[in-house]
Amino acid sequence: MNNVTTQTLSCTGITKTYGKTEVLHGVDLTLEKGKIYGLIGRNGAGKTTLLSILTAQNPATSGSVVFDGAKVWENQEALDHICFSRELNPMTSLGQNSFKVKEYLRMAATYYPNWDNAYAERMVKEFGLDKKKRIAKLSKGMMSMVTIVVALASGADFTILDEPVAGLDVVMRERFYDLLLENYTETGRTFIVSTHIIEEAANVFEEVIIIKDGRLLMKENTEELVASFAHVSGKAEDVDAATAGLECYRAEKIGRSKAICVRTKPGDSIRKHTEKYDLDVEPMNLQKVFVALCGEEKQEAQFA
Amino acid sequence: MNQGMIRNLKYQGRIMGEMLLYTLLTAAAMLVWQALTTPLSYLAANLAVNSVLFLVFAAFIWSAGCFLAMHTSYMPYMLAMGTTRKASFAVCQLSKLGYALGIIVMGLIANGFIGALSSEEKLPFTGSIILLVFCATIFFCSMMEVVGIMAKRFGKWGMIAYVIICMIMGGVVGGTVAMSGTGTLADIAQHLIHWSSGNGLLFAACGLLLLLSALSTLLCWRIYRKIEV
Repeated sequence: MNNVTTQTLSCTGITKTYGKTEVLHGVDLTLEKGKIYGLIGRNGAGKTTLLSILTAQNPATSGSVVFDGAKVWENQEALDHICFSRELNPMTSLGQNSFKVKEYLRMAATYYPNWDNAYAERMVKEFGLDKKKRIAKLSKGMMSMVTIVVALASGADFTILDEPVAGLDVVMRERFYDLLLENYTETGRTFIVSTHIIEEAANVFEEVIIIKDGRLLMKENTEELVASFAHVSGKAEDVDAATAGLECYRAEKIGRSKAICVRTKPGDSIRKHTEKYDLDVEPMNLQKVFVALCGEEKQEAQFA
Repeated sequence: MNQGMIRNLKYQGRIMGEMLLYTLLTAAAMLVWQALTTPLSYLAANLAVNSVLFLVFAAFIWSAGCFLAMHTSYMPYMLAMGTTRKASFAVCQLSKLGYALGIIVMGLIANGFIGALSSEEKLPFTGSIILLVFCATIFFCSMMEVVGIMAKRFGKWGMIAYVIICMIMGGVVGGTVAMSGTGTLADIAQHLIHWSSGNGLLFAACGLLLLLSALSTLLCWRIYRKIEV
């Protein structure tokens, strides 16, 4: 395998079919070492399926996943560099949920070659986890804490967290982001965090990956993506004129007014298009960008 | 040996060690129960006869629990923590072997220790019996592994099939004991073993058990190699 600085985890042409339903359609994705990626998508978009295929936990129907040029499937050397800490399901009393927290962590220590036991113990203490408690008996937030402990203590070069903040209160969510950044700064590991609480995590994500309906919609630098979007509102004819030729999303029409989300190309500025008109132009945040890209188009409001 | 195998040996080896301990404790509990409910004059003879049988029963109970849980609990989690299917499956098969050998060792110890308490004829834990217990343990573990992977793959229908099989087997065994007129499973087992070891059928039965175990292992691998976590 290549030296540490050039490691990549990538997939090509990944499709996944369950019965007659294709849930992933030809996904191509490359993840580089030393970044924090945010993976966002609506429920059922295929995020967890993609992540499980990237980590060889599920086989793809077609396509390939490689780590540093070597296939990941059934390749222990490649898998040693990857950790996928999955969301624990509180509804399942079998499987890993029948374990006690200490058994779960002991298993992690056995299977992850770079496991940092001291770090894990410190986090267990910090989170106030009762190691003797069965996972099935933990609250949703506590389950999330267990997955966070496993992910951060695994020491894997590519660490994936699926909904790590589900069930956590706002204080613990902030603590998680701090721990993530601390770990990232110290180790330079790659983290891929899948979350629905987008705006909180946006500051942490260097790049954002958006999955829509089983397809990779985009993978871009977070700041640049957000900066390229703007929310334009005003008289409908002025909005239409100002945004002609631009990528437009989620138009809302109320009477003679119109509001729309607009994306400009790199180097372009929305102000250049709107300065001739009396329009409100507001920046957008990542959450609003995501809703614009993946939400349904709004119907025109009707007033009697 | 690659790292994947070593990690699985460490983890699954620990599980098997725990299973052997629980098996021993269960067999000991059955012996204690028998000791408390048997007249003193028959105590030593009964313990001598039943020590190995109880061990075998306990082995079946715990192997059922363990290998049923192997594919519903342990293996998915091993896969989730980055082991390969080949390594985890291979070590699972070695675990069966280790477990069966552990039962044999415990049986020899029990047979020697408790059997020494009595001069009465005991269920001889020798050559062909050892082979039979070994093959039966492997077979039983394999069957439970099949049930476990069916439960993992097909959900509740796998478990329903397991319950139905248990009901049928329990009925067959219970009916056989009732109709034999001798009254105890130990007596039936002794008669069957004495009869079959004399005419080579015992060895054929052992061969069949191992063949069925091998076929069930192949079936499990076909499902496991593409299992989704």
